[in-house]
Amino acid sequence: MEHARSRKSRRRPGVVLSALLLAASLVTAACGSADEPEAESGPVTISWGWWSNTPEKDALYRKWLDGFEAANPNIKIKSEFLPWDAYWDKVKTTTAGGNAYDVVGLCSCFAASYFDNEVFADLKKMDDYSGAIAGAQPGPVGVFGWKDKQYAMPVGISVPLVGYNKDLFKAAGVATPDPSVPMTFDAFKEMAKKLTKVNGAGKVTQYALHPGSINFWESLIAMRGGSMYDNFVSPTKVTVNSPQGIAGLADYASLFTDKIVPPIDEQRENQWLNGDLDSLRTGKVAMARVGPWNFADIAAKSPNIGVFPLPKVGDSLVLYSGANGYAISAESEHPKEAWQFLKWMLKTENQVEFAKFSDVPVDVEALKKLPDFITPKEFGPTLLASVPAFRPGLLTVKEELGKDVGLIIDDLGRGKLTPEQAAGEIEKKGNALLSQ
Amino acid sequence: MSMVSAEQRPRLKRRWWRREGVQGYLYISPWLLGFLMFGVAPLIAAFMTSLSKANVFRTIRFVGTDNYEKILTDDPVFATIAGNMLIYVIGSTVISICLGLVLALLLFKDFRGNHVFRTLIYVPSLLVGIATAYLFKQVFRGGEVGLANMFLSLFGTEPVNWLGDSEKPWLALVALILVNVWFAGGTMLIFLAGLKGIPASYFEAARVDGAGPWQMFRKVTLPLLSPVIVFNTVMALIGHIQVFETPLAFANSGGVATGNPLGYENSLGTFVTYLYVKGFVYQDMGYASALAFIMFAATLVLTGLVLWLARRFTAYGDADQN
Repeated sequence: MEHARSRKSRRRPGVVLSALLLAASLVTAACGSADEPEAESGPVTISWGWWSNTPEKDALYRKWLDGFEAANPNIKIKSEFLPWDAYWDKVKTTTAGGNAYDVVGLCSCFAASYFDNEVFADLKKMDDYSGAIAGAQPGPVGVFGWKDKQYAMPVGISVPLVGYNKDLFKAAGVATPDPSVPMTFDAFKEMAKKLTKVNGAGKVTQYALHPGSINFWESLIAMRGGSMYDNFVSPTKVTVNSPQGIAGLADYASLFTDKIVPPIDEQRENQWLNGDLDSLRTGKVAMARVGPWNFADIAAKSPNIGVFPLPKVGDSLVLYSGANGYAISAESEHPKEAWQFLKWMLKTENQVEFAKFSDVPVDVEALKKLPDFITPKEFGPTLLASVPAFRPGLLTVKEELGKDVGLIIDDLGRGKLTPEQAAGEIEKKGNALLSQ
Repeated sequence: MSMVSAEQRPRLKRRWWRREGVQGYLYISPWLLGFLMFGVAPLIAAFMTSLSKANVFRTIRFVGTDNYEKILTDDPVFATIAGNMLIYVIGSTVISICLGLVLALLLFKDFRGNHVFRTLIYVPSLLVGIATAYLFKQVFRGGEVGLANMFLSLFGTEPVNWLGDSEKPWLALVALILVNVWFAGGTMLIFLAGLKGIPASYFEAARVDGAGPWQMFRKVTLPLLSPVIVFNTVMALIGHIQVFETPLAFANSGGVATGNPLGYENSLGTFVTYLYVKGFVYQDMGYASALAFIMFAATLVLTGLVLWLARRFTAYGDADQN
């Protein structure tokens, strides 16, 4: 018995050694990189991310990237398109983990925290920075600047337009709106009232407008001469509680009381879908937000959708929206190649190609050519009439601010708060948050 | 100066190899390394983060216990959520245990096809959480199209806006609790195993003594099943405290980027959704980490409370043998 045990004991170090090897291999596997290092002589692959709109648009986007690869045979782009929420979750976690895309697609709406935490490369330090931005409009470039640094470069601006279902307009006997001259807010409301339909039982079967992702109240406040914040980029104070601000909020609330837009709780229930093109396609919503990012899709699938500019108040037209662009991860192993892409996308001819399927170009020359290349062609005048009204939306590290304001605005829409109460509430909550 | 001679060294080495403790640890070293790297280290990091002002990207500064103090004394959202959790955890645990037990008792009976029913009731509980959440979002859809409303209409009840009624936000919490009916199969299975472990002779003896079905349940089944009831209760309790996908799906018709991910007036907020919102939506990782530890403490206290209460009513086999 003793003999047998000692024989077993002699065998054990071998087993133990195997266990140690296994553990070491597990640790090595866990710590090691999944990607094999690239051969020095071969092309460099840069990772690239953007949010997905529609499969059609994603395919056009990829084709645009192929153009870059053709012009730069030594650089390949590994692109990834993810749904909106999933994309931002991935950008956030990979940036925090130090393995973000080399080229990060960015919307100004979520950019502030990234900029403030310096997780992207400062593009001002890149080779020929001044030359690269020479042709770009300073406004959108400025949106991506932060504390004297330039953390991203705009590729386009999202200019919102009103998309309308021509069939529903015709059925209601409403004349086609002027595509290039914004109508007044009052005229818009009068027209919209004819487009909401109620059945015999008093139930609404068709709404005139789905506000979806238009932050319409911000525009209305500005057009009334007020402002939500002292500054939309890094605000320090909420300034909505003024007579002009309250008037803008009252305009917004009237869209609900006049049954022009679906009640807030029904919007959440998705009966009219979430706004934008999808809502228009239900045949139950006469108007919703669209933009140049939808044009290719509309041209291909929805010839019954037309566009006109958002309404103005008096002579003032203000559209708060976002600029989209690209940043280079500070941890990128290929910053030069990534910068090569950013410089390429800012060139006039590439901006033109980009604008054909996505946003309004930031390049001045490309913008001038817009009426020549935009499809559907009849959308060109509407876009050109709206571009000067563009203002960058809220850009702040206090991410709760936009959400808290949105929730108060929802209660205004529900009729639970008067415009005065809503303005007071926004001011109180907003300033408390901004002072932290 | 070494006290061990060169001759003694190999012997000592052999003795060290032969020590069972050392060998045991080496055998489990792959797991142990994994546990230290992916379990203990993140736990320590999370605790340190909870004592800091930190976002997803970096730690900004050390703030001591500020995050804990704010959560416990100056956070009305957390207070609402703690109330939600109390109602949700009690309601859900009652459903999980009572329904699971009733189903187990029914399907414990020997009748043709009982295995089919067991499978049919158990399989849904294996479904991925987020899939079930979206399924129930349709069940509790407002208007006349939701399944719950269709059922209610049989009794002439008006359609209820379960998940989006700003006048009665508590309805969403009721819907959230009712979802647990779907998962009763899990507790049922464990109860069935427990019932099978009760010797048939006990029931036989009770029957000979003239006990009816109710008395047999109360005097035989329930006491002998009590350890299983405690186990199921503790597991259900822990599971319910960690509820995440369903409230998040219920609260967000338009995605996290639009509506309130905690529901109207935070009526659907739970510990984990609040933690998620604070950490990943508002990027306050220090606060979110502190929430995680408070949630851990709450789980520990509630579990301890259940185990302490259960001591009086639980009959363990070992105790009988003593």
